[in-house]
Amino acid sequence: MKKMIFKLTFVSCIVALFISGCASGGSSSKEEVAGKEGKITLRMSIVAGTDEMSAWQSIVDAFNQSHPETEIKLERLPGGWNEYIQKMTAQIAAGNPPDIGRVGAAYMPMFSSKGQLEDLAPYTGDLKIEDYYSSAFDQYQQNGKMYGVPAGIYTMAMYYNKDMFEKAGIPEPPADWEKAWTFDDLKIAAAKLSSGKGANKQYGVYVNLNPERATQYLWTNGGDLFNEDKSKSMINSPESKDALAYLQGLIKEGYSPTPAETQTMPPDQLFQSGKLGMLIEGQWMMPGFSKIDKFKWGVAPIPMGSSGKAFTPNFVDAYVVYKGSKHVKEAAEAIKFFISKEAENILVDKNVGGMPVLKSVAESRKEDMFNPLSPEEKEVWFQSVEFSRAIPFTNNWQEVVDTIMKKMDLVGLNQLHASKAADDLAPELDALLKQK
Amino acid sequence: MVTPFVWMVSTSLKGEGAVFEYPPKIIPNPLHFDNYKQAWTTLPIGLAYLNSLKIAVIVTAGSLLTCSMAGYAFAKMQFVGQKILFMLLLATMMIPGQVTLIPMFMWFSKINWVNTHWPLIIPPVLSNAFGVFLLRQYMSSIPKELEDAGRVDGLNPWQIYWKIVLPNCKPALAALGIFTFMGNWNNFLTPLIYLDDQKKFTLPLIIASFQGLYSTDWPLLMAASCISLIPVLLVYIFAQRYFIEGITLSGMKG
Repeated sequence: MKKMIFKLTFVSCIVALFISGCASGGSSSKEEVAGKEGKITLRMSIVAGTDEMSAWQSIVDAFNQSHPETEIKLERLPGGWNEYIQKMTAQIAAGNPPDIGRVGAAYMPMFSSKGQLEDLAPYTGDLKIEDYYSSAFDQYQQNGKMYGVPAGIYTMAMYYNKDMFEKAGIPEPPADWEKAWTFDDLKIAAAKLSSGKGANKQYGVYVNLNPERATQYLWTNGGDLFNEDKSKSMINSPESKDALAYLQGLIKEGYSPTPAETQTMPPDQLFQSGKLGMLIEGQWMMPGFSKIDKFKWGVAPIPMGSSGKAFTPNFVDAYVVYKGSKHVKEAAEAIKFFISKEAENILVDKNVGGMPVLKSVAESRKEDMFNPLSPEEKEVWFQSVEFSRAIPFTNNWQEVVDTIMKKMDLVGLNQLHASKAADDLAPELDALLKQK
Repeated sequence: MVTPFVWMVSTSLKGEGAVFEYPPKIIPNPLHFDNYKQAWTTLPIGLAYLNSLKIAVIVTAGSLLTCSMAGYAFAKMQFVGQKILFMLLLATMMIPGQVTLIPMFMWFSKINWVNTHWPLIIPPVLSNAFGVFLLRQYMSSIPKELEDAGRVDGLNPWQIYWKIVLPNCKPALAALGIFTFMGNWNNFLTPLIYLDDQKKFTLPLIIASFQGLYSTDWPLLMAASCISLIPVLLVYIFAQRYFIEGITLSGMKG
């Protein structure tokens, strides 16, 4: 019996030793922080692709060098926004959030309505707002409060395959947003570009019915997703319905792949393999598409509907300071550095972060941005900022998207008429808007 | 059933741009073995490997010990409140992990265990209700006569546990070991929440890091996935027999 007990104790001792041995390597971060005396350490936590990290690290290093009294430690989270939100929520709840973060535009209302962000207005008074693009700043300045500082602007435009256009005898679309193609031009071109069957199937255009990719069609047709103060849905207005029916028409005619088909073949891959004539997508596709060597491609404004004015959505990620940070002032200082000329230029050097929010940087660095496009085509991107509007994100945006997509998938599969879908959606969306 | 696996291996050897070619090529030409080298060097996969291995091995060994002890007590001993305790234990299985995630995080952040491996090791070792349940059921089916024989020979409960019951539980232990190992090896959410420092990341976190916000480098991602699969494959190959028994035992797949 004694031998038995001895053996068991022995085993558990070994296990305990093993565990503690392993853990000692793990718990050193606290000591590191305490080690540098008198220095304030800020935690900055972001999601980004592996290839983007050197850019973000560079602006953090630049800050650390020019501000010896503060040190930022950059943490990169794996995965996408969902993972980021989950982790931030847990850390805020535990009262131990990172000081600085970068939040996607779609998630800003959720964070700010829950009071999880610090108001930065008291610290940003000395910023010269007129030096920055107003379409970027406006959406984060409300009632004298400022919960986020715009980090960079992403807009959308129409990528097109020049080789396919030439073969089909279609003239290249104008590069000026004032003279953008109309819905009819798009349909005619899409019809000419669609051909083939099976493995050789070519599509003219990709119609994405997700509200984050399709709201500009409603705007340009005189409609909208919600009304001005986001209290009522406008998806069932005649203008919105017209736009949706037009989009459904493109899928019905076989010019666009259906939602089922894009499940197996993502549209950006379809475009890159030369089987899609036009793709209306965001600036973030540029790095991937710049590697295309099989065919020539270009960028054009998004076609406009009956209002005669072209629109593109903008997605402005924001730097934020999370509630519970013990160094709000220093964090705000760092954020101001991140949108300064120095930091913005570093981001442009590394081709990361979208259009700079600082007008002077955007204008002086035209040569270095949006390559390999021609100077005229680069203007499509620069001009797009002036034609951009923010998507009406709500604090329950994910639910809004899920609700809309349930119907829009059926629309894309031609199982539900677009105007019927809009009528069905209106009361559901009204209910969601009342929730907040 | 093999198709996803074949696709993964084949994609891991393709050049960028060749991934979504139609018709798909099973054996890509040329073969890009450098994907593996690149995957290994761009992010600290080696370190993540060690972290994952460490956590999975400790948790597996630890929970086999605690679960078999608890299972033995529930199956073979009589004490006051045994049934109620067992019901309570089963009740904890009904609570989805997501519900306790944030409260647990708050708790661990109070004792400064955030950004360490402790929260990934201690809770699964000390609160594996499924394991206790599995082993208790299996131990209940071991005939009482075996224990009685031991008792006649003068063994105390500890010795009966160690010398008679445990050796008879090998299939159940092996099955539980595999479940636990796989579960911890593939665990994504908990390490995501607790770990901040890339040097402490486990493999699933590093693999997810190959995905960008807007684009994914499929060949690298798949190369990293292949690397991470090796231990799981080894466990499967060497413990296949037990694994199948485990499924029939519990009706669950890993």
